Amino acid sequence: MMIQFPEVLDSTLIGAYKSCPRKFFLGHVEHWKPKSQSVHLHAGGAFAKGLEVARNAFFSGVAETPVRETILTPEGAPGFRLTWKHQSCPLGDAALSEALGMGALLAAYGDFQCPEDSAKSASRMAGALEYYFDSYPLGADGMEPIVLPSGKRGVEISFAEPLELLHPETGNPLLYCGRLDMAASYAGGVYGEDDKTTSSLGASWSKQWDLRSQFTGYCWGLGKIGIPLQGFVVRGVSILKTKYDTQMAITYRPQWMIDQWYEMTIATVKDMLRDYAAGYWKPVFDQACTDYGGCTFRQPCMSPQPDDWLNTYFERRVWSPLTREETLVP
Amino acid sequence: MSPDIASQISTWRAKAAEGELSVEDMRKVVELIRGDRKTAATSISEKAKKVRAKKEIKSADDMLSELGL
Repeated sequence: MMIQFPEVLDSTLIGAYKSCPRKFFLGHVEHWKPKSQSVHLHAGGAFAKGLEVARNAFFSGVAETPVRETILTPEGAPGFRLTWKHQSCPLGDAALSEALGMGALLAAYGDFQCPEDSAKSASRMAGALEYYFDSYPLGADGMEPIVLPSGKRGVEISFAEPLELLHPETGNPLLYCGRLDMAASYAGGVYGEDDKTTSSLGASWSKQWDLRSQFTGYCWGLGKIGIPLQGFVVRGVSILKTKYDTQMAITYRPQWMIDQWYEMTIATVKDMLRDYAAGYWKPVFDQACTDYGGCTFRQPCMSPQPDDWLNTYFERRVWSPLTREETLVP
Repeated sequence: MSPDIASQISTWRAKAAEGELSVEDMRKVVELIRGDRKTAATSISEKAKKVRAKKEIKSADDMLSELGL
């Protein structure tokens, strides 16, 4: 099996390494992914698509609607895939924008089968999107996406900036990339905005973002492309079987914090490169194995023959943080 | 969410996956979900008021008779 250190890093990859080097190796160097998709990832992705489409319609006058395209499968059989058609639409029409967002959410959720014990079914996610726009009405929630140097509005902004370290094989600078939900003017400043769907919003929900590397990395990346951010506005929507709730947190990122994040990130990537050169990825065997409902690789790690588990319940899919597409490795 | 609306959403979801959901359908989804949520919220609020009212109203005669007066 050919393995290669990733050319592009992001907060997910670096976070995986920090929690457990073996988890990073299996998931992002060997690219093992579970065959069955996580309901949290799928439902969260559909919700994010709904928000993106609604915001683009409202602030940029671009309506994105789902269309089915006929394709040939890798086996040569006729098949279908969902693509998105872009058309112009009236600016500032909240009802239309919400409707387009709702259509996008349902299309993105597709025919995914939600587990019985999960609250994140298609209808509950649709309800969550309606609740979100009732709580944070488009154009009337105090946040307006900034206009980027390209003239586009700051909805779903991507960046990929070089780090000071080189790739061990290609010699190219390693890139650090990210994608924000929104960069918006808010309360006299410019803030990043991130939407989180969750099962519950406890008393400590808002405190977890103050040192979160994901947001510090976004501030570093946007600073590099000439868009300094004061911090982040994080909006959480809890989706339970019987009700919704929301909380909003504001977290700041002064320059000294961004500098410390960069120093820490470089030190972490140097550790990753050292492990890659040594070919040894230390398993942590501790709290990370059970955090967030349990590590994906818990079962392979509990087996003396992890390859049996990997070959049966996993497949190799390479995720590109730049194109945001996954490619199945045959 | 009422079972009727959840079932209706399943139909729209299938249409969306086929790329056949019209903008009018999309508007209807939002309207129905919003209406259902607001109705549920009002109904819960009214139930709570009724419970409170039952507790608050007490007959003075009953209270006096309980004391044997």
